[in-house]
Amino acid sequence: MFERFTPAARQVVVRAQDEARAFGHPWLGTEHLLLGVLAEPQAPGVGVLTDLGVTVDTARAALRRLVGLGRGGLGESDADALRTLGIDLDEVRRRVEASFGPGALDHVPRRPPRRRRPWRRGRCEPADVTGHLPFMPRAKRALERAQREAIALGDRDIGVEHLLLGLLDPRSNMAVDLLRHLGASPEEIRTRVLADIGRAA
Amino acid sequence: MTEAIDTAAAATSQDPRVGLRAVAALRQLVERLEALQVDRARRFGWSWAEIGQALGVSRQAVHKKHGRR
Repeated sequence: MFERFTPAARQVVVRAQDEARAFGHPWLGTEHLLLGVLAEPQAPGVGVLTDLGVTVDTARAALRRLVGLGRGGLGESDADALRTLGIDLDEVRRRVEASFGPGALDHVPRRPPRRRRPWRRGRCEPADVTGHLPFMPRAKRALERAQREAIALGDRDIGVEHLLLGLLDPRSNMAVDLLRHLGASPEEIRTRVLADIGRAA
Repeated sequence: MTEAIDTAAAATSQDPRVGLRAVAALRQLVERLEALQVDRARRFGWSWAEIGQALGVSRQAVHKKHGRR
């Protein structure tokens, strides 16, 4: 599938993997693909998002709020939810860090410390850290939709603009949720992207 | 005091989404705390049976969950 991708579109996928890893998410979702698209602000259609105030920074912050950090990390939405039970996550975090050290509540060790042996310290990270993360079903669907968008527009290759259109799934996904969270309507984005790349909606 | 009343009201919210989201966050917090405490106990030389007893589960259950993390 990726052989039809333009270099910039490939870069989006690579960047999406980096973003997912930075969040500690063991999957590649539409939210990461959106961050990958936003990392290419010069690509056709992406300026529409910038104009609507959606940048890689605002989208990252929104994602942090919506899903928090993966691997057992607790995000701001978790903090809000716990507050409804009268639990102050900041206070819990403060006490846990006093006992277990900084970041204890947010970083899940890959294995218990007792298993670490000094002579094995230098070896490579496990495959799930350096290898490719699995695509979530909706991320796969977004790529398939991108391919269909390119075909529908009569374009030979799949570019960043097609990836962006592919992410705007009417059946909704995390990228769409993120955009709505930032006050941007997927329908409006689609219309404006099509206008931006010189095609009628 | 009013804050306590507010949170009590939220905790008994009629909206299942609010309540379920709180349960999910609480579960995540519990899992994280359990992992930290089990790791520490192992480092202190506790057996799986001792950890299981303290957690109120079998040693098999605690080993299955934390043994290969």
